[in-house]
Amino acid sequence: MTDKLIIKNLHVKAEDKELLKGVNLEVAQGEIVALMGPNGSGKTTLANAVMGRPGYTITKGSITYRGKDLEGLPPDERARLGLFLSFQHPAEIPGLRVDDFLRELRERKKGKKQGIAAFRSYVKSLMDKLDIDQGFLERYLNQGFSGGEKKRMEILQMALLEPSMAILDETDSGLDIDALKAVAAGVEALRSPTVGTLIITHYKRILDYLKPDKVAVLIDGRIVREGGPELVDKLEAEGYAWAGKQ
Amino acid sequence: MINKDHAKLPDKRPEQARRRLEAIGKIHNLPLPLLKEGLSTAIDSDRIPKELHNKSYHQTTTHLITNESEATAKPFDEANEQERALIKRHRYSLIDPHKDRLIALQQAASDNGILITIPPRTKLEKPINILSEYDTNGFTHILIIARNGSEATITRNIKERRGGDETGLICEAVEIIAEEHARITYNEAQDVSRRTAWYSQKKARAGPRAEVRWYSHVTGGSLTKQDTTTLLEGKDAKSASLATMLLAGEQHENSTTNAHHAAANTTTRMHAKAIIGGSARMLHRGLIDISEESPGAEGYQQGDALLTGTEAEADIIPQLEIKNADVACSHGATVGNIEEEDLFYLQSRGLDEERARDVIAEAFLISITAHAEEDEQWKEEILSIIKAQRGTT
Ligand SMILES: Nc1ncnc2c1ncn2[C@@H]1O[C@H](COP(=O)(O)OP(=O)(O)OP(=O)(O)O)[C@@H](O)[C@H]1O
Ligand SMILES: [Mg+2]
Repeated sequence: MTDKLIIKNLHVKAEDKELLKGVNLEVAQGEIVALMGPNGSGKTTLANAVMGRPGYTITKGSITYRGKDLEGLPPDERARLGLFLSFQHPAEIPGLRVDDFLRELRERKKGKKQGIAAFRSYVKSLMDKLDIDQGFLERYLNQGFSGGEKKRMEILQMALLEPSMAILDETDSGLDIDALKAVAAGVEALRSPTVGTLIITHYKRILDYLKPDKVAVLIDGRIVREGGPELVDKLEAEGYAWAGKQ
Repeated sequence: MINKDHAKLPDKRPEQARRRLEAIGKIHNLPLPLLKEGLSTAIDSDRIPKELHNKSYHQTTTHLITNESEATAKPFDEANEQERALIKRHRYSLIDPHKDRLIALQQAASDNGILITIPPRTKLEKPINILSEYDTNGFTHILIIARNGSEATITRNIKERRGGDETGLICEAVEIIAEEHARITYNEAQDVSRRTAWYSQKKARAGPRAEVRWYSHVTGGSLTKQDTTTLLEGKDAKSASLATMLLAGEQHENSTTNAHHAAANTTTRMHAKAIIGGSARMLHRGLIDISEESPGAEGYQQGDALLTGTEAEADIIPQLEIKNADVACSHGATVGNIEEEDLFYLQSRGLDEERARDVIAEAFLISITAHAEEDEQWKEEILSIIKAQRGTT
């Protein structure tokens, strides 16, 4: 049995459209894997399929994590297995206070009630590290947050949940330089031999902070190339047209 | 200082009881409240007990009043001479007791109620809390007179001790007279038996610069029929009507919120938010009516229903009647389901589906407080009402 996230010959359909056409990808614990690819190539679809978003049906192939086939498992059970997805477009929930929500997440993670004072000081130290203003605790989840603020809130939730496999879907997009550093620091802080990370990105920038062990390129629902960090430079220089060629 | 007033309100005087029964006999000529006014959602009027005169309307209602000493809040039958004159003058001065059969019954069957008077320029720091508990069918009249420049919050919880299968009827009337520059906030949480028809008429008159704010949270009742009307009669008067409903099972609710602008620079804010589960139905109608005498008037109304039950239904009908060009009004209505995207987001963070749905539904109701942002105390009152009742469904 292995603790890896293993995506094997994955075919995924949504609304009768085949979006993934045989994806093979592995992310081991302790590893950072970068997934790159042009707009509409299926990166978010892959992340959704791993996290179990309704509407994305596996027609062929499999996703396994920690030796368990994920097909049919609801998203919350996948979260309990240690999976975490930082959303490209996080939902806004007016009326749900950030502090209440974060405390509930932490309580679920820890399996016991968290005293308000102790939780506050814990979450405040995390927020300091991620350079998030504490005023956000009193706001409603993601409501009216700027793009960058939403991304930081995703990383804050990741830090609270301490996942063993994190998928970051364009968490670096739209971030200013300081925010990018803070997000990278957040991922780095979580990094350990028992934590795997899949970074979906369009930019080399974040990969300068978080050196990937492996880079994969997804085009039109298929992984067309896999390599080391040098692949990122090659892509920057040559573009996806090159990657798509055999 | 806290003054606790335990008032049992049985009326044992036989001659009065006879007079009531006579009056009840005549009521049946009046029409029942209009319920079937929706576009597609049909509210079941059979839930109002038909044989009203056969019901026992002995009063076994308890009102537990907690209030500060500067205000007077007392049962009608404890009123002194001066207060009795006030009751005589103002009771049914806003609500027409012949409007329909139930309000007529209310008038005939009961001379019970609570009189609240806020003296001039008195600002109550803490709310007047009233817990109204019905044993069975009952009637209550709340009469609030806020004198010039006074300010108060009244928070009422309505409960029913009776369980069981018998269908019941509760009729209530609330009248608020807000004199010049007075500010009254009336919060209400209704959680009566799911076998009881709950009928409530509410009406306020706002004088110059006066402000009337309503908040209502409904979770109980087989049928809820609620009409809330504010008459903005003085220049610069303001009103706000916020409402939340948490319906489940086979509950039906029909409510209207009305604001009649009859003076310059008057403003209205109305927002209703409902969670409708099971096969519950809601029909909500809002009306802002702006007369020729109201230049500079402003009106906002919005209604949102979230259908969480597979057979739940809702109709929201916002309406504007504007007879003056110099006004600013907006209105809107939404009826929808829980967004799959929101559900997935919360579930991906480890909340199971049921919990995620509850969190989304509660957040939906809580976001009504966006309209009370400018007043932290009101916002807190609304929040505590929603949170106190979330566990009851
Ligand atoms: N639920 C769906 N139903 C139908 N088509 C979908 C659905 N979800 C995604 N698609 C389509 O699948 C393709 C891949 O979308 P996806 O969001 O996975 O791309 P992406 O690689 O993440 O792109 P980007 O870099 O722009 O974020 C797109 O053409 C998209 O329109
Ligand atoms: Mg994407």
